[in-house]
Amino acid sequence: MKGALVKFGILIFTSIGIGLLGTRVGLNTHQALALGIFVASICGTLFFWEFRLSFAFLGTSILILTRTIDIEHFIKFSSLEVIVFLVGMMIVVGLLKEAGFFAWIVETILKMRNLTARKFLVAISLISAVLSATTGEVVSIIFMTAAILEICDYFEVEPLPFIMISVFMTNIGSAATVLGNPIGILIATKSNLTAEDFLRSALPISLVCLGATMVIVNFWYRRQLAEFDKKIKDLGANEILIKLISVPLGRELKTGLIILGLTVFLISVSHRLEVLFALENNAVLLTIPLIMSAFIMIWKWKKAREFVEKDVEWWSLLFFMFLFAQAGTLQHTGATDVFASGLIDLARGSSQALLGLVLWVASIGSSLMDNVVIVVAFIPIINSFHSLGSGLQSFWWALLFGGCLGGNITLIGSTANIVAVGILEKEKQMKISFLDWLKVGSVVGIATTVVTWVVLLIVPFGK
Amino acid sequence: MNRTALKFGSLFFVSAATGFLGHRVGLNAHQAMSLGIFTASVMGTLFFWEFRLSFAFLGSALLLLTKAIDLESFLRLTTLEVILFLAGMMIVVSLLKDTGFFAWLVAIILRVKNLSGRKFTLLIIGVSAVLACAVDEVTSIIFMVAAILEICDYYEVNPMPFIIISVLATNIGSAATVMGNPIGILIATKAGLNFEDFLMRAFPAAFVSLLAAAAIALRWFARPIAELDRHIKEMQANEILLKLISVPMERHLRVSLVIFGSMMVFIVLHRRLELLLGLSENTILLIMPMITSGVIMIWKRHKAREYVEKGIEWWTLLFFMLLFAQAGTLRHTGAADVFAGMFADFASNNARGLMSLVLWTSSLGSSVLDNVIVVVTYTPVIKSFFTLGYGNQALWWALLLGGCFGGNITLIGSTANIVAIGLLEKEKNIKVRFRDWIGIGLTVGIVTTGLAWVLLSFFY
Repeated sequence: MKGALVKFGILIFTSIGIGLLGTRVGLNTHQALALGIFVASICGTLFFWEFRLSFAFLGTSILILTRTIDIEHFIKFSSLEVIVFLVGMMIVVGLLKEAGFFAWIVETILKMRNLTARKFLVAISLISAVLSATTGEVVSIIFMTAAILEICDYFEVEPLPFIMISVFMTNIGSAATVLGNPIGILIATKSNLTAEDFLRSALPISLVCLGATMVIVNFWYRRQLAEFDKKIKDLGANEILIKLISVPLGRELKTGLIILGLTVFLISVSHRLEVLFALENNAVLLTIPLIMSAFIMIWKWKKAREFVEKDVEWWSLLFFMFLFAQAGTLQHTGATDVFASGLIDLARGSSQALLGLVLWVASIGSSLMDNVVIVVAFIPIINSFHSLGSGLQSFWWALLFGGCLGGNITLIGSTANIVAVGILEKEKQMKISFLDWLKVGSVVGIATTVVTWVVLLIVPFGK
Repeated sequence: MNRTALKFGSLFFVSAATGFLGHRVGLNAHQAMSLGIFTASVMGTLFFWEFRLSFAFLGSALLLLTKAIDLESFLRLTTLEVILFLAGMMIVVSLLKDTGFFAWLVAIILRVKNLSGRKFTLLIIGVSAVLACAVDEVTSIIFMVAAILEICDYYEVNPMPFIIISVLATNIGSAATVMGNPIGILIATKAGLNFEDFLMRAFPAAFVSLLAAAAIALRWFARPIAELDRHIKEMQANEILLKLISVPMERHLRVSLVIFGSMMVFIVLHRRLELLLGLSENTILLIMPMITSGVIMIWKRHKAREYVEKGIEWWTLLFFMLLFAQAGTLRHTGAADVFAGMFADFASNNARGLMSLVLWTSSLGSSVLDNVIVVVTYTPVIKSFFTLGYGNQALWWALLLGGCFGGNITLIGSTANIVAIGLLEKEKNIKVRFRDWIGIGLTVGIVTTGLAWVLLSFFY
């Protein structure tokens, strides 16, 4: 209780302090208020994770009551299109779960022939990355953890290293497409980047990071890998495991696979369709999940309500919506223009320096808090860069990769980490300390961020 | 399967025909498109209740892909502020349920002294109406049914008449305030009406109608009420029941009542506060549930997630959101203006005639359709009347009262009816047949709509 009070005091003090500081550096009252409340919301997520929705509700109410923003603009900034996109994708993933898609994936890993430790490492890395790039990181990690625990149990090796590898790959893979991470679609809609741009720019960077991480973990866990190899030799291959499990590729599953394939395909060509039909940017991208989930709900009409009520993470979406709107308010009041010009001054007008700044702040920031929060805070600033004339497409990629890669640094860096650690604790009573994670996490996180930095500096994106 | 195909065929045919017909009477392609898709959504809810969300998804996607509307306008027309208002209210109601507010209320009804048949009937009418206008109709009816079943079980009488009476009162009461019914807040937002307007106009109309309904119900169900009286005399008063049930006023219940009460106070005073703070219309009304639920989720932090995930009817809200946007598209494309223009001659000479038309069609319409759909259909047209200069505030009241009162006519007229009948069937295995309902329902529905018509014609 006392801890809560202290935290609450710090929160109030920090937000008011920052608001006041804002007025000193040239923000007007509304700008300072928007800033203070946004800071309170961010601190709220940091200190009072369970209260975050309340903080978002109350903060927004204050913004409206103080006429910092009116309801109409508030609604506009809530980025409902992103929310609806996520709702649609969550319904699609709900169907995939229901159809046994993930169980089937797990099985294909378990049934791998002539298993070796290296082969296993590569397999879980690639599958984690692909799954998270197509269905979202949280779902991906849940099923990957299940598969890894099963295999490690069978061979009696410690699952922790492999689970961490899977988490790293999940976070990296989630940057590759618009589907992988809520921040992907958020950045796409705010920057007018298309799914194709993601495939052209984000996917290659993500692959490079994936390669780098594979090299790192291969070295870092060399002992564990060697031990795994020994166990495989001792116990023979996973013949028994192969016989034990067999999920046939049923009709449901096939249909599910077709739906997923179609969704991913349509999304990746969405921009071409938009150009073909002369639609505005992202109109097709945003409606595809809607159409797909509509067909799913017609096909599985008995489960439709369940998909909407259980598989859609309403709690998080509601929070996102308010957070988006609060960040939008920052932009609306012009507070972000002030910051942006401050940052530009700091970087002495050099866009390369600015790029590094965005990348590293996003990366370090999202190692401590939800990456959506960081990205939401940065979007208006980057928009301001663009309106001030020093914008680059690379800024968006820096933001995306900073947000995803930084998640690997700490135990709480991204939802995937928290979920995986939670499962491990629940299933195996295994605890991992903050420091243990940080050792390998920071190496992976910082190395991949550096790699991205180099790529972004060398390759001229969007020019 | 064959039937489904037939239904689907007719749905497709009717929507295409409506669109096409619209095109013939002077709608352009986008207008006809938005009309056809809206028709398909409405028909979809009529024929394929379970598929309604899918229809709304597909229809919205089609509107966007055919460029009938751009994304930004579409999102604006979803009327997210109303959705958030409803979501906030649902969190507040979850808290009230959780802290035992409704159980406490039921206990109060059960513990009334010197119970008689007539007294009981009037009591359930009063409480149902007040609950419906303060909380919302569905929550209200769930707990009223529980109370009625308890009493009727105790006295061994058939609960059906009393349940029907409670449903009638619930539907009428839900018209009295902004919170009673989703159509209330929807109309308030679209028409720029405030709580005080509702108190001045809707409340008296609902009150008078409630009295009329009470009179009708007492006469119509004279025999069951007399029977209840007899059973009460035979069995003595509800002494034992009194002792059996006692829900003490716990601290949590008290706190939640204070929270709920302060929210109500702010909602009632919202117009004055907005003027005082210089805020635009209905700002405080719309964000009050948000503030309240923010406070609630801090207080009950362990339940917060449950309130949001289970307490909020996301399925329905998602459907509403897209339905609102589709109806808004009708106005955005100008289709609604064309329709309103057709009535223009009629409307300019005959304001009362127009009002009567809106009232009676919305009443009859909402006896077979969800009243939200009826209201959503009318809103763009009425707004167009305002742009064309034939607008009149009475039209909004006609829409509200018609939409709520019409729900009494049939047994599927409103959500409250369906919920009450479902509960009766589940708990007591009593089936309410169409003919059990239609006599009293039609009488009350027509009489109350008639009363509303008189009030709207001569007083507003």
